[in-house]
Amino acid sequence: MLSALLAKDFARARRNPLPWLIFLLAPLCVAGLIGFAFGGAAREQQIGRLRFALVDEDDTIVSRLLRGGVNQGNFGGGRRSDVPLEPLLLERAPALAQLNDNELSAVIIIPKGFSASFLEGKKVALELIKNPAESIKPTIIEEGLGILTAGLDGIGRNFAPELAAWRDALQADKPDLEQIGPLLTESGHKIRALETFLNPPLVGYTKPGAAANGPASGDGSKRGTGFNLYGHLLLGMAAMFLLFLGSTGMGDLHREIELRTLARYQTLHVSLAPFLVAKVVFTGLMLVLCAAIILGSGMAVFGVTWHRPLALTGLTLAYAVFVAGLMAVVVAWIPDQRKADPVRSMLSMLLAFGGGCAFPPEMMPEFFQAHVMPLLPTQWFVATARAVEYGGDASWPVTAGKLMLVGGALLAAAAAIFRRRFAKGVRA
Amino acid sequence: MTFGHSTPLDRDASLASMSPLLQVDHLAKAYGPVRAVEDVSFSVRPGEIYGLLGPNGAGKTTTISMICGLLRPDAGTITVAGRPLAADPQAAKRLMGVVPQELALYEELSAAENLEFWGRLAGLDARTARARAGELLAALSLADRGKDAVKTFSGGMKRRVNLGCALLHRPRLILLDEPTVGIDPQARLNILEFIRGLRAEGVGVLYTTHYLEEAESLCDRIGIVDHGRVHAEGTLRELQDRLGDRRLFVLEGAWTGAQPDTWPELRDRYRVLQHTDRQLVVASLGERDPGDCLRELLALPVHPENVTLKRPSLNDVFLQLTGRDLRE
Repeated sequence: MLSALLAKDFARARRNPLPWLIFLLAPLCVAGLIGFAFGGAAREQQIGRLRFALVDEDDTIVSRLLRGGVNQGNFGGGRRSDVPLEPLLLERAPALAQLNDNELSAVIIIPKGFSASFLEGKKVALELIKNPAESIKPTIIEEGLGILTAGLDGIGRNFAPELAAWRDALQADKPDLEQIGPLLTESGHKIRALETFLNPPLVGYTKPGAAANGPASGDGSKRGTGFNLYGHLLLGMAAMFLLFLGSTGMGDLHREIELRTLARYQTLHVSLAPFLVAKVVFTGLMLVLCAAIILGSGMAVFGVTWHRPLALTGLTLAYAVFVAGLMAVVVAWIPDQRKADPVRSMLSMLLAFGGGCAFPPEMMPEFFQAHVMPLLPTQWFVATARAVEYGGDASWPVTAGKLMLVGGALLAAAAAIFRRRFAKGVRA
Repeated sequence: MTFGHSTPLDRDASLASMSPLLQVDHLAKAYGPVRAVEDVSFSVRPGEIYGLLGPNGAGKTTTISMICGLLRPDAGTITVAGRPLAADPQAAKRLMGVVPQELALYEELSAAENLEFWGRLAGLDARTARARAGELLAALSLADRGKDAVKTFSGGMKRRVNLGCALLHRPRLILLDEPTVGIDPQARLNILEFIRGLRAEGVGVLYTTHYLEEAESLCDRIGIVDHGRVHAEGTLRELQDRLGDRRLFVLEGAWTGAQPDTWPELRDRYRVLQHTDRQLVVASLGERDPGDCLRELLALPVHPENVTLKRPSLNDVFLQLTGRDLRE
């Protein structure tokens, strides 16, 4: 009987696919639009090359060292980084001209007197001119410059006596190698003493979203690689629209009530359980199929690579059980489709937005982040899926287990409500 | 069991000797303060079409819903094939085929798919369900449209599929809740003919309707129901006999303000069935000569403009029982 019921539901979905297609295409469109707005044609591990100019107006041995570091590829392809840099050494005028022509993301200027002031322990500043036509790339350069200045500041504070000696050694027409040798030895000793503080650093930070899932455990603690904006968005969109798709699947029970087919079923000599079970199985299978289409389309359309498909599949299956259970409770609780439709939509939106499917969780109020979001299964799914793919501390088997548990409890509640209603002799 | 060569009287006698397939006793159901069914009793025998005739809201659908297990009665008993429904509803449902008043079909699926699906749910294996679906499509004159989606069908065709879906498992008792509502006369005739064929196969049929003509032409026995009560029951002739010698006089005229009950010449010899501003319907009491009756009626204080003599219909019986017209 279950096979007959499932065959009927799949045949109906095949003949009338529009409700499913709408919610299938929506996450792809939304992810595409948002991704395009923020990253253009970005692909896996590519947010475009960061092209910037370095203008050395100081032209001293220190600035030349900085320039040399840039020029010798320390910022280029040989560097271990996800962000490819393309620095150019230019004069101020051509650099600004290229910036105006939108060929550069930023111009970094080492001002005249920079080295002397730095070695004297005075306050120094690098000049950064960002391309106003771009948002993300200049910000990344600004962040990088911030790290560089913090490093220089640290050197300035901790090596003040040595810096004075360095200045003396470097001020002569030719560097005094007799002075530089002991200075190098002394500085080396000091750096060695700092080694325990620098490697590994004593203070670090974790992403709030990942931290919300508790400490790392199992293979879930492995970090994903290659952040992809589309993939990040698509996971959230998939979580949100799977709620709507689940609503379409389980909402078909309302349609059965409206069509009077559920009432006709009740006139048969069979119990109601197979009918409800078939609807849950149908919804679950459709959700898994839709998730595969959404995430698979992400690979085909946006070039997303899912690094851990097994973990994602496990999470999605568990999430499908949760969604089916949630929507079953709504149908059992509110048998009138006109009343249930807005409730289902509102519930889906609240869970999706509250769970960080559409907005970054950091944008939520602090109280909400601390006390509400950890309770939302949508947040469990999205945070874990993102952590699995793009790094973070989360154990997908634990999250999948929690989702299955909640989904099972919801299905049991729905069955109990249905049983009570029909035992009272209420017509479907 | 075949009734093909028997006369109606023979069949009545034969039916009366059979034990009922469905027995309903003092059934009652209320929705809050509204008493939808107050006291309904009747029985359906094998090979019999029992009609529940009544206007909309009389309690027919509620009665059928209780018999097929969709609603739980507040009082009364339902017995199917000698066993109380409450004792083993699943066993009773195996014997039943229910045709709901509203279409209960999957419009995206074809007629054959709908029939097969309901056959599978009724316990048939896939092959048997497919074979019987084919037979039913032919019997319902839908063989050439069997593979088409139901949504492309006319109302009459949908009604036929709706009927067929209840018959796949060859039930002994069929509950038909107004199966011809809203369809054209030709489609209605097709369905009625099909139901007669079921009766000929020995199936017991409970048929609810508010169409007088259907009840008169189709049903072996009729229960007249209104306000949740069965007011009278019997064959068409038995019901007509309730109106005396089966002659009614319809007097058209200006009856506004008239008080026929106060006229001794009318009160003593006639029963007033209906009194409106333009019409007075009366039945003569006892065996009377129609000519004598006509002379007496023309001599009434209010002179009728037109007098019609007719045989009583079910509507007249309904009128006499409930004081209102079934067609109102």
